Amino acid sequence: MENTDNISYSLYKNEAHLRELFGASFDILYKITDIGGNKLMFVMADGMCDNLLVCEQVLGPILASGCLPSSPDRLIEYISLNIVSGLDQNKAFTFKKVCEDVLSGLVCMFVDGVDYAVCFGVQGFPKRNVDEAQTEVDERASHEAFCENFKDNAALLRRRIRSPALKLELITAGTTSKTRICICYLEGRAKPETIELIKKRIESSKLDTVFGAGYIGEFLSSSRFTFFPTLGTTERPDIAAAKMAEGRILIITDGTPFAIIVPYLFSESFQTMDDYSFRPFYAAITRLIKYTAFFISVFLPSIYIAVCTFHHEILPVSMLYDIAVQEAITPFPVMFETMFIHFVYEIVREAGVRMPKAVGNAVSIVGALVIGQAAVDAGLIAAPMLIIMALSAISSFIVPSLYQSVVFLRFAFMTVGGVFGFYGIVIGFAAVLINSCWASPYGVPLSAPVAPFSLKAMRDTFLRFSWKELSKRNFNINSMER
Amino acid sequence: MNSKGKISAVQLFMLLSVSRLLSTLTFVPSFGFEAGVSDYIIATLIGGALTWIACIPLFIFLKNGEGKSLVRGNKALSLFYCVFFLFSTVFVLLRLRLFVSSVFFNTAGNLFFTVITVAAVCYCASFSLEALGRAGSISFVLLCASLGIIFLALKGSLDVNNLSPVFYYGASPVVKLALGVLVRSGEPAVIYILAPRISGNLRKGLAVWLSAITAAITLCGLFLMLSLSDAALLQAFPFHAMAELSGFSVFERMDAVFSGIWIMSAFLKAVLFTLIIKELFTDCFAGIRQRYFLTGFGVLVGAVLLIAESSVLNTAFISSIALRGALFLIFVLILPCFILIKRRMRV
Repeated sequence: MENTDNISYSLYKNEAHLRELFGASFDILYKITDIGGNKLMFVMADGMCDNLLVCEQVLGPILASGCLPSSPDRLIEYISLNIVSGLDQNKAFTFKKVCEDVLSGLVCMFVDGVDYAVCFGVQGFPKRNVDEAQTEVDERASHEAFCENFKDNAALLRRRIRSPALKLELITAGTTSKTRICICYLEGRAKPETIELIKKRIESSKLDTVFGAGYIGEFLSSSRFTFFPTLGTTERPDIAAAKMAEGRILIITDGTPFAIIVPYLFSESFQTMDDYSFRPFYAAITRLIKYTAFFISVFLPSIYIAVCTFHHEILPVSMLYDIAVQEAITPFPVMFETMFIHFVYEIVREAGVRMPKAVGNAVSIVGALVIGQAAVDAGLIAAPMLIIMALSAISSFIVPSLYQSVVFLRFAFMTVGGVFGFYGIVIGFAAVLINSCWASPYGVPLSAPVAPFSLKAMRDTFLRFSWKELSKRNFNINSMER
Repeated sequence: MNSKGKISAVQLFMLLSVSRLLSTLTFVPSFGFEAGVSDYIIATLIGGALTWIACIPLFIFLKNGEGKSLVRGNKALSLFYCVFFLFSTVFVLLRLRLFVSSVFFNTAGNLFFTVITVAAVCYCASFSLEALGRAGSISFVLLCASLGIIFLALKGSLDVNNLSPVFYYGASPVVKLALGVLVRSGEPAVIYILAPRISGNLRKGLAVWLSAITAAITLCGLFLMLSLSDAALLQAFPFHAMAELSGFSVFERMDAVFSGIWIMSAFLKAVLFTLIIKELFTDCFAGIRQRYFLTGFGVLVGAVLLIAESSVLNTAFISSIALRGALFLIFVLILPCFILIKRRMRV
């Protein structure tokens, strides 16, 4: 029985089959031409190919060449070997492969009397150029960021690691979207079992479409809920390259300007490229500031609620008196007031993020100055509350990769702090701690190198030792495995 | 107990240190019991020596145990130890409840306290021993740092003249207090059960731990007596009273820090015992799913707590040295010795 997916010797049958497959899609272009008595057909997706390249590298040289072999087999071989100058070529024996190539921006050439097609890489679809990092802004480090095109992203990595050990493996995910996923790692440093596990998890994800890294991220993270992310993300190629040098594996999804990093440690959320550009003592200070800011952003509102509601004795008398006077004039309980003002803040922030930049700034100003000040003047919100909110909000921006966790935990702790006081906060902290210590989706605990403790890794955790020290022994993430 | 994920001996002993230090920090003096403050310190040292002696069977077990648990799949023995750890969990939670309701959070209702605590304990016990081991090591560091801060902040309140002459009331109170120190050390039972889940040199670790923990609790006692003297013996929670006395700069009192470490340590201890019960039980009855067991266990502990809190059992649980002594004798001394002798005879 004839397999209908195999390419036929008849050019017209192939054309008919392709037209049937692509249906009425206006952007699929077919060109049939006669060269030296042989019929040739070119198929391409308009907009996915660079028209200039198509003319200069494929159609132009073929049409201009004079003496060509008359046999169809020899003709197709001759064209692909001697006429078309591009290196990116492959043979397709099935319509499935032809469809994939055409939709990926290749030009497929059929010759009547030959049962395969040759596809030439002339991609040139519209894309955003490599731009400045938006969410991981650094002062002295590189300003380049990943873009949506995974080949450009791969090139950004290659430019930083010029070693054959850098491997970029391609797999697809999404039964309909067939999104290309690039798995990047340094051979000899990344653990082969982890690479296989990642591939297995991506391949077993029964997704119809994959339009972003977040789609596959959930299949790569831990099996049970964790309060903190077990996968890292970065939009910076320099960070990505540095992580790979430590034995980590990078997953780049076509169409997403962020790469996923596994395995990932909680302490990495507090590291930036600038830490390695600044002098060690200053880097250490900024790290300590970040850790402090993280705790402020999560716990300050809940501690304020607990102190004001249950544990007044903790505050010095003068401070207690000031706060009590302010809180006495507001009509709401402290817990409600705190949750309300943080909820309003999240609305303002969300609006600021989603609106166009110019309008977003206006929204922030209205939110911060007008609503905040007016609420205090009207006696709806106490002034100390506004300070607490502002402090916790600003602190949460210092560690952007933990923002989602911080918001969730902040509201959770506000609730337990308001209902159970310090008792609830401490029990909640212990529960979050045990949950975070449990997570190790790739054998490396999220809580490493603090627990399990590694003295060697401490050189670049809370502090940042000088490069003279760090370069003595290279760190590999797999040494943290337990 | 089968060998699933393992924790290191260091992690285990950090976890046990949190547990043992909690027992010291939650020490409640018996009213009407006559003893000098120095007697308490001497008794702690003697109690430490007695704990060493009580751990001799454990050393022998670790030497000959071939990396296996004391219960070794024996269902009856496993369930027996489950009862011991259930008692211990209830004891820890009752004492925590007493502290929270009398000192820290007077408005907390019984049901209210029980539900949140038991739910959180069961949730955390659903994770692995490795998770608890890691969390325990972080908590141990926090505990040590907090105690260090409290002791440093006590600087101005320490007075050597607060110490009374040793053996002023004779040797009998010292012996009784030393026995009290001994029976508060139920941690060897944990090692009997968890031995196959620990990597590293347990015997060496145990020796170091017994010495270090004796030194640590003696030091805690010394600071308590140097700062509060006889007044410590009139307090419901002497260490909390000591923390109230400490302070520096704008931090006028440290009792909030102390309360935090008490709650955290008690919580971790309850989670450790619950996790051991869960693993013993699910090893005995392989068909039972963890989540169903923990739900059932939570209901059981909750019910026991509610009943105990509203009855004379509360006092019996919290202050009865006899009850704790009996449990210690059975589960740390008699049963292990009996099993060791039986196995020896069989060989």
